[in-house]
Amino acid sequence: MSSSSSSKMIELRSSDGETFHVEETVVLQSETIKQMIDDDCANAAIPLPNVTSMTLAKVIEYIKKHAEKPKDDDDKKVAEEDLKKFDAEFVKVDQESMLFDLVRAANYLNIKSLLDLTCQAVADSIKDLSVEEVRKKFNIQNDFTPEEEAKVRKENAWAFD
Amino acid sequence: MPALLFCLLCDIRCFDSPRVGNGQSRIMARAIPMAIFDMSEEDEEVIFKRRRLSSKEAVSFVRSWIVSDDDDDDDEVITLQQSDSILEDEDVFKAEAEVVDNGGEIEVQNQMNIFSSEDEEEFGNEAAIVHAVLTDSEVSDANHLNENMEEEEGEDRISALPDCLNLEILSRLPETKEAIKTSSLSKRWQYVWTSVPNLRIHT
Repeated sequence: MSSSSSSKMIELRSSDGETFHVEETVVLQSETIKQMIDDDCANAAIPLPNVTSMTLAKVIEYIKKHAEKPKDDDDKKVAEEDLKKFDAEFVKVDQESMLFDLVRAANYLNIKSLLDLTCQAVADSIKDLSVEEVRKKFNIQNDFTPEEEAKVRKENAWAFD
Repeated sequence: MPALLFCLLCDIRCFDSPRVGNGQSRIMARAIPMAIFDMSEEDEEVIFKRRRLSSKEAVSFVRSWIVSDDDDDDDEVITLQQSDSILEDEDVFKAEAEVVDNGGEIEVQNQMNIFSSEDEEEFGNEAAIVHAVLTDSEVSDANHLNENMEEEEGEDRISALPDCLNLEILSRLPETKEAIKTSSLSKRWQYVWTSVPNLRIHT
């Protein structure tokens, strides 16, 4: 980014005490942090008690990539394609738990596009699965009795066809 | 920060005099941590915030407890005090539980709460209120709890998300039908879909 050299650095501190320095222009994608900066609360390190360093590092990777600005129109098209590829790769996480950590972080930090991306990724991963498969995938304990489950299914029978 | 830890007592063995009543008796029991509430004070109000047990906190422990019954009437709620003297100060717990003297056999019913002794004065009364928060199903799940805590992969991360985030996910399913199907996943999910803000129905 051309203007980055003059951009102010913001310090973020994860729940496990690690600090990250990010350019203000990048970090403004988080509405939560933007609000803090607007309220003049960002002079010291901003504590993020709900976000671990592992998750925060991923989030910063995302907002950095999304802060890149193309130089001209030709470049813009390439950049858009590039960003799509990046997003697709970004949600391919090794551990499913990371995806949920990112959902929570995106919500807490109020980064709309990241929340869209991660929630869509979860939705995509379950859309073609049966109820039983979803339970297995996410370790959801079925606490219905067989009678209760049958009743729930009957109430919305058309959806279970 | 002070925290309130709920445990379920099981594998109870009595020794010394197994009588609950005048004086004291001692029991050995395994305590299985069930839930933890962080406590903080704001404007003279005590705030309890439930959080996940860390793997360290989730480890069950066998300890000996002194059972004492202060008043003479057969009150069900008595005090258990940990009798293990080799513990560090910060580990000294006091516990409350419903204990029933069943013809010489001591039965500890329901869960108990354990709190560090230094917080007891400050939070003692509130502790009794929170005591009721744990549901029966959580108690019955206690035996599976430790195994589940061991393996990260066994965690149900999606059900642990707040409703507003699960709604974000459900609203992104291609068809509302798919969202409705989640009602049969578990009780946690039965009514989540009913708040999905958009309807997508293909005929």
